[in-house]
Amino acid sequence: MPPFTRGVPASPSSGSQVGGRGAFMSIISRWWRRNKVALLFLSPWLLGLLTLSLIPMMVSLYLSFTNYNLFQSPDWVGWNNYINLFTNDTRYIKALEVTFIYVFVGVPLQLTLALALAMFLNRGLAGLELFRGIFYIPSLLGPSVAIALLWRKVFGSDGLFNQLVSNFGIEPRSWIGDPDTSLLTLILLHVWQFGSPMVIFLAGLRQIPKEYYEAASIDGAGRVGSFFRITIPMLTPILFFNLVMQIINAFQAFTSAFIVGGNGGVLDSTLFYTLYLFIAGFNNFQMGYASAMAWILLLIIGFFTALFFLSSKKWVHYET
Amino acid sequence: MRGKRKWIALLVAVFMLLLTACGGASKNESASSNNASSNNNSSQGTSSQSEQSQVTLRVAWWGNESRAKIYNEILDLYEQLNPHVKIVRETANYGDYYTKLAAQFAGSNPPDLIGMHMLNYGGEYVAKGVLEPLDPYIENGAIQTADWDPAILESGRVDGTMYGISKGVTFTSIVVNKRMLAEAGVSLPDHTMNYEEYAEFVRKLQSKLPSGVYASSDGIQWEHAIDTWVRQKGKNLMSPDGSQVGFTKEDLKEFYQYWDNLAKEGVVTPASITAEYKNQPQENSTLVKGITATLITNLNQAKIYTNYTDDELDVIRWPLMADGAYKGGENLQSSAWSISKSSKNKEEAVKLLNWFVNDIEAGKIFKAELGIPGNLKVQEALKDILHPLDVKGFELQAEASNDAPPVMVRAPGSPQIIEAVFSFGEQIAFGRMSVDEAVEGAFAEFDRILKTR
Repeated sequence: MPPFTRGVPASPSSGSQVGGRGAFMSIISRWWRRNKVALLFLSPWLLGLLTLSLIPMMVSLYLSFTNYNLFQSPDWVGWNNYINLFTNDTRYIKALEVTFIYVFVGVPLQLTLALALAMFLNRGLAGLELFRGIFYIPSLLGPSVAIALLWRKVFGSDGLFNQLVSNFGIEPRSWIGDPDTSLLTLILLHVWQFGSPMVIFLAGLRQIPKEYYEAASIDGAGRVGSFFRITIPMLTPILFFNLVMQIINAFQAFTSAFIVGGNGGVLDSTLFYTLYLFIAGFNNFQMGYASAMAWILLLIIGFFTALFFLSSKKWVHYET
Repeated sequence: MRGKRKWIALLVAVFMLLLTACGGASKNESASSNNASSNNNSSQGTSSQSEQSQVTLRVAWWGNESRAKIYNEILDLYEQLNPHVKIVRETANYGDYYTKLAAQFAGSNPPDLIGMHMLNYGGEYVAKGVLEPLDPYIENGAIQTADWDPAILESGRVDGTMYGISKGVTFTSIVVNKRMLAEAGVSLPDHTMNYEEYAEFVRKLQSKLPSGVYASSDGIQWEHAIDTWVRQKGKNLMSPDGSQVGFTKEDLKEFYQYWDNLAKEGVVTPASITAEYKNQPQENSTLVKGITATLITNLNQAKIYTNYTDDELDVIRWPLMADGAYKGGENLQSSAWSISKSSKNKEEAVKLLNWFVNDIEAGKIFKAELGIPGNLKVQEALKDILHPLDVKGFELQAEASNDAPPVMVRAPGSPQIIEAVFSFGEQIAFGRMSVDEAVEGAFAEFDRILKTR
């Protein structure tokens, strides 16, 4: 006998006698009967989702309308936190500035490098597997404390980078300690993690049928032409995916900024949004303020994601 | 049969839940000093000892590896002497320690015996009402204070009530590399050096130093520099209730001007080097790396630097203010033991506290790690085995208690005010703002901080 047969439906006569409510209840009980076991298996994950994600999110939303210093109970202040962030807090504006630069310079650079290397690897050179692995390693290690510490040493005044560039006549200096260059070191750290989108681009490149290129070369298209007319359009779904994922990721960057300059770095030049959130919440004990910042970040990321999705109809070509 | 499958499915789900729950619990057993997360181990366990019921105390302190070794040695000794007590140790480095502590209090899960920096955080934590007042224990003798230096004992008092018993007091000072001084042909300044004389001293020193080496680290971003400055003027960083800043724009301008002048003359480390070496551990300091000939730091840290350099080091007193309301301004920084109000083991925690600060053996192991001990008998016993720089510290403290104003614990919100003084100091150091602009900016920032607290 099959294990999960449908329950016997309620007989029409009894349903219509009790009326709409009876039918509703019977639908619920039927749904329950069919999905009981699935729910049981899902329960650990559901419990986690509820207690570790959904409920904390709701609490955070509530807290964002309060002043909460962790020791005394929250104190309702309405929209004050949100208003203060934009009208009264120069550090917040600076954090927005720094984060936007990091995201909108770092991600395009990273994806360009990823695509370039994917194309290079796609030529079918020997040792593809090896290089793909090596290029991927930074993505694995990248956003970690260890690498951030390493980065700080490398770009310090007596670091490896200075030893390298002094050969090219660039004067050695503390790249981390200089407010003009410190953000660049962090952008470089982000670009260095190109491996993950590169692997995805590579997979996408492999899927482009060779016939298209052959047909194009017969029609007289050069390398550049076929790149812009075939490769890019065929890759737009992958490009879209990588763009959205990396931008969401980059907005939430924290570790590198925290290690390189735990208090926002020199003159707040590496004050990432999430870092300022952390400082407000945990150093200054302003949890309500920090919660407001968190929800604004959600809105910002949501805005850009929606922007990409809506515009995707114009520039992403899915193969039908 | 269908029924049987359902039961199997249920069993599997329950089993998986148990598995994930058990995986977490086994980690809680190892209570090594490296365990940074707080574990809920304060329940009473059954023991094989027949005398007293087993008590578990959670003790938290800040510091690095070498300090953790010292604490662990002392706590191990206590456990040996008191077999019914088990001490769970929790530690973090200074930067993360208070973040962690705040989170623990928020989760109603604080340690029993807590390391508390009275100056910086005493005011904050007392205002939150989470520390146990210690006067009753002093009065009934559970905490012995008869042999204590009164100034050091009083440094644990906030708003009239005792909240912390000092493990050691320290204050700001200047560590000097004697070899570099000798090579430059400059003699060590004496203890009555004032700000003008200090400026002359570093200028003279700088003129004899090779390029790339500086006479001193920059005081503009040293929290105790501004604190001492305003105290020498007879004021304080903030009003006691934390509602107002305690000094004027003039005071701040003079402070910024003094250090900016030195920076412009190339006598102190330039901005990017100061930035790079901020918050680095001692082994990575400008003093150890030979980038500066002197270093501004707290007195009790002086001996730590001797571990990392072969050069002979000495420590001198922070400059006096010749025309100030007070000549000296050092604020005693007391690293104290406090007890959480919600602790379930207060009696035992008090016993441990009392032993830690008064016992000669414990004192000998601790060796003035956090500064000058309060118990005079312990001070005496330590004179022979202490590092010479620590002994010098006893002298300096005796002088400071004569000409500096009484200790004032910082009001809540002080860390943010100090941060603001730094960040505008940094703007000056990088040449992004003039002194006047920075003073205006700083006071605007103070207003903002005070409004949103």
